[in-house]
Amino acid sequence: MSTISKSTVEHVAVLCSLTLSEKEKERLESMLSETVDFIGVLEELDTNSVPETYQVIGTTNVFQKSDRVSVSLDRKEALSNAAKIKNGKFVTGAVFDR
Amino acid sequence: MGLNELTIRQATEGLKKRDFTSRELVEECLNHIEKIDPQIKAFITVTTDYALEAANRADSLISSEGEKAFNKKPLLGIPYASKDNFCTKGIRTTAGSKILEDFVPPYESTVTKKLEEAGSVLVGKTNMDAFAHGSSTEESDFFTTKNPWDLQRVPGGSSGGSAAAVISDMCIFAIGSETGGSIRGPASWCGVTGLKPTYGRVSRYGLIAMASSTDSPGPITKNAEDAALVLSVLAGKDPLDATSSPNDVKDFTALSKESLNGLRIGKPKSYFDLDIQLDVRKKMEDFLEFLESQGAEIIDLDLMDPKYSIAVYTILQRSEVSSNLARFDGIRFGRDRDNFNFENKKRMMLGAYTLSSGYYEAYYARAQKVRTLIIRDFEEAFSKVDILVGPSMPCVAPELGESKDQPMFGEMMDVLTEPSTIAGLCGITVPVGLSGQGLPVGAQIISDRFDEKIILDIARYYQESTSFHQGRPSV
Repeated sequence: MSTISKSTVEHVAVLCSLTLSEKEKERLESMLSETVDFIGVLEELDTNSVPETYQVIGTTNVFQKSDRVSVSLDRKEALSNAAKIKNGKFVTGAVFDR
Repeated sequence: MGLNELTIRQATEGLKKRDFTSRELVEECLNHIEKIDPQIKAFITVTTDYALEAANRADSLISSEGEKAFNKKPLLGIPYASKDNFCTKGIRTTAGSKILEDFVPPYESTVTKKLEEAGSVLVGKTNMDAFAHGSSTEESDFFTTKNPWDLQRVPGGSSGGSAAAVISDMCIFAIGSETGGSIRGPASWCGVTGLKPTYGRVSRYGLIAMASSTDSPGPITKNAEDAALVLSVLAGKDPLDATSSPNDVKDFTALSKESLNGLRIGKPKSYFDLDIQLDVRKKMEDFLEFLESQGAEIIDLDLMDPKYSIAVYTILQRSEVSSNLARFDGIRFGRDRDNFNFENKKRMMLGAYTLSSGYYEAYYARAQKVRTLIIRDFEEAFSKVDILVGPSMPCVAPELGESKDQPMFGEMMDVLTEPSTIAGLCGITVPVGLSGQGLPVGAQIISDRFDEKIILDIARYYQESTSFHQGRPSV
């Protein structure tokens, strides 16, 4: 039995906002299972008292201060790659009927 | 020798002496692209008009200011190619993906901005695996770049277009980006020099993100001396990238190594115990012998098995990918999400899975803890040795199609580069000869964070005594 079931594939596809074909679901079920089995190798290591590292060069709490550089796009630039524009604004799909 | 075959140093000397103009230099590169790129397919976009105008501007500056013009603009008039994931204002930037096929950025990446300010001339944007998800360019949504040494083989990836463009002299240097092995891999398989700087050394602003905690832009060049020149231009704190480092930028171009006496070189046993192709192993032995003959001491080291690094990388990179690609909604820019290729979908899916409720602790959090163990392992190593040396890739460039249906292909190819990238270290690959089939083999030199100087010096020292970096395929 594979580690990742078809229903898990379908659930994660919703989380990723992806539409998958039946064939893609099948391939993902086996390929993701293979990868998840592989990454299980980390269970061999004792990590109980080990802190996590999210940032490898130790930079923390960086804020823009006096060296603030203002980068901004004007409306025309911001809209220049939009699929649909109306009245100088982006047109989006409805979100409440999802 | 064509002008397009010159290194940065040689081209700059020629421009200073007025042996030729930037326009002539750029035209030779553009002509060469027109002649051989239909076979190699390194470029997604060639920026002919833009390049000729920039070359004219460089020439005017050289005629009005003479050699002084190069003090402020160290790369003045030098043609380069950029991987197509660096945003270039007004120039189409695709990241190798159909989603961004028509995307024209309204802003400029810090890397390309700094290169422009240094006077260099963009001749084109190079092919890559879509969103850098691959190690061969076969995951590009447009076409596969061919390895100039053998057109039936891959150039490596994801910066495969940049590496192929440099070895076939379609530009003087190129820019790539590395997340797991995307500079060192293709540079090794194409027989050029590739530098992956320390994480944070070079700004990521305007680089289309793959995995934000490891993405590192860097140069792909004809030799280490050029890599140092380009790094000196690119390095430094950028207020637009909060993760860029405030550490001092050294003068990477000043050569300080006259011999390798006293240099302690770590040879990680776990790297050499891997299934390394015989030809690669042989060239590595020659490389180590050379370093030893110059006074260096080779010290056998026990480093963690790279399988743990691959697992950590797989989890972190996929998780960050799932987050970074969430922004592609087809509303503000780009096409809708149906345009992601299968590889993109697969990576996002795994990332969303490892981040999702119930699995976060088991996968993502545990991977970040093992990352700490890997960093500690390297720190201990660097208390005993100055640098680490190993093969860049476990084999020479594979044939086209070999990666098909291998979900872990990239990880297996990048097994020797991923440990250092997840720890944020810097590394450089240099060509160390050809295999029996006539394909380039690369050796990598790795050092601790922010110590690019030592690996550049050693690579340069090696290249001053050998000529492997001067080898060219007969395209």
